Amino acid sequence: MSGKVHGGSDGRRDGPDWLVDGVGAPDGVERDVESALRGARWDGDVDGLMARLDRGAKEVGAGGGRRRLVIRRSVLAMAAAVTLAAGVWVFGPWGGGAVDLDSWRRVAGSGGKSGAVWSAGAWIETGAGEAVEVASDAVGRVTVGPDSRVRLVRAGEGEHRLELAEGSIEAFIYAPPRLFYVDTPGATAVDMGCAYEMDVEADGSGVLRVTGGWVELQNTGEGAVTGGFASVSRVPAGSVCRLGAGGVPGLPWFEDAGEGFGGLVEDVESGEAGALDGLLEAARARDGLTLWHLVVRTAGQDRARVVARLLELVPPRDAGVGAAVVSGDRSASDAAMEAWWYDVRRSW
Amino acid sequence: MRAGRGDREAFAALYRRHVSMVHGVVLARLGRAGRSEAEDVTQEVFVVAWRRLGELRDGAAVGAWLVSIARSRATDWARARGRRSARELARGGAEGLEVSDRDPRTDEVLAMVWALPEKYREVLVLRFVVGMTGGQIGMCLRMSPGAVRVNLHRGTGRLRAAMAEGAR
Repeated sequence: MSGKVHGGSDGRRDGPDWLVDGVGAPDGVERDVESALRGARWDGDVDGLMARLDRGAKEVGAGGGRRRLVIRRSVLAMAAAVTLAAGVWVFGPWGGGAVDLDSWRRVAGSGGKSGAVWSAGAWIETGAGEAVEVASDAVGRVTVGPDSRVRLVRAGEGEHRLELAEGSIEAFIYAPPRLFYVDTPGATAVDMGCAYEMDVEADGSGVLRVTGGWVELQNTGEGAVTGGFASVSRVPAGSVCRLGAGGVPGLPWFEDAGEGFGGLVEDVESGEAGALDGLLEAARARDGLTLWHLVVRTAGQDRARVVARLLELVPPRDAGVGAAVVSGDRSASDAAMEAWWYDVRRSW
Repeated sequence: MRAGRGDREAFAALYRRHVSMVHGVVLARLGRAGRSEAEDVTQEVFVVAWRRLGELRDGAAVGAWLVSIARSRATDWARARGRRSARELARGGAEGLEVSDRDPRTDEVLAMVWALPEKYREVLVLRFVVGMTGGQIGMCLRMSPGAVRVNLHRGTGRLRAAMAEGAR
């Protein structure tokens, strides 16, 4: 068994909880159990299922005697169900006996009818003290906070996308990673299987707080550097990340580091002289999250100092990572950063 | 995605999205004796779901709806299995337990999970076998985040004790 401190009987732990949120690293027993049980997972046999459905369809009308009577009754029952479904198609919001699993609808809140479908292109606008909750069976739930403007851009099997022009949302997403996106003025929040709160101003500045799983923030505004780490922030559960004007992602930091650390992060983001020293000194191993993001947002001597401190706090498995990061070779540096990210995640 | 009568492609997408979770729920209920049949029962769950898609008109969450079907089918199967096993035992048959051709360690740990109370079994299988997070488990099982957290930790605690005992 590892030396990790386990939670009490109510399961509360300080810091990330791999067992519940999948964030951080499992302890020895958890790793053993996961490794042993992984082999019991089954990802299905869709062809087998379809063949089974076909067989079921062919059985209707085959057979005779008592069996045929039973099937006829089933057919009558099915016909009745279809008729009922057709009625729903005419009178209800769902239609044709089919359920649009990807559709978004209003669950609760002010200014609308519960169950009403939220159509692509339509805006939800809330006033002071108002909130609206919407949900999609395939994706999860989103609560639109007061004084907010949110548009459903797209809702399909491959992608669900909202536009948060201004205001706040609280999202609880259970869809697979990279299916749910929220565009803000200048940035996009990519859901990686999580729960989070986001608050943005019309100029794109704002804050993201992740309470479960993690979110990737991508700068998509004017002048954004694409394809580089500098325009992306990876924000795990328990951390917050500010967005600068234009949606530039800031440095994510764990809230359990305290407000003092958060203040240092803000000072570094705004380029305040001397702030970097304080941040490097105050950082714990767990704050490798912040330093990892800082590596690619600094240059020259500052980058070398950040890399040196991160090497102390989170030594990478590959000893060549530090040199590769400061080598100036973009491709080698990116590969090394990605490898280091794995170690940083394990340090939570 | 529209998954309704006659729309097989959409139903296949729904299947792919939820099949491992449904299999986990079934697996948690069948016990060791039914491990190899869990896949078959899972397929049955989706056959039932296909026939009953109209029930989803009220907008109930798909995952939770599938869980309710899976629990019901697995319980039916386990009862039938129990009756069969009793008859087989009465006749002196040897079909009560299966010989597994899979990783023995998987069966060993699964046996420890199955020895736990039901409230722990389901969340542990969904977490460790299927790889769902606590939040996803809560949505599908209609449990509060706190209840999922407590059951995961208490269940894992019991598993630790069982593994430590087994290691002696």
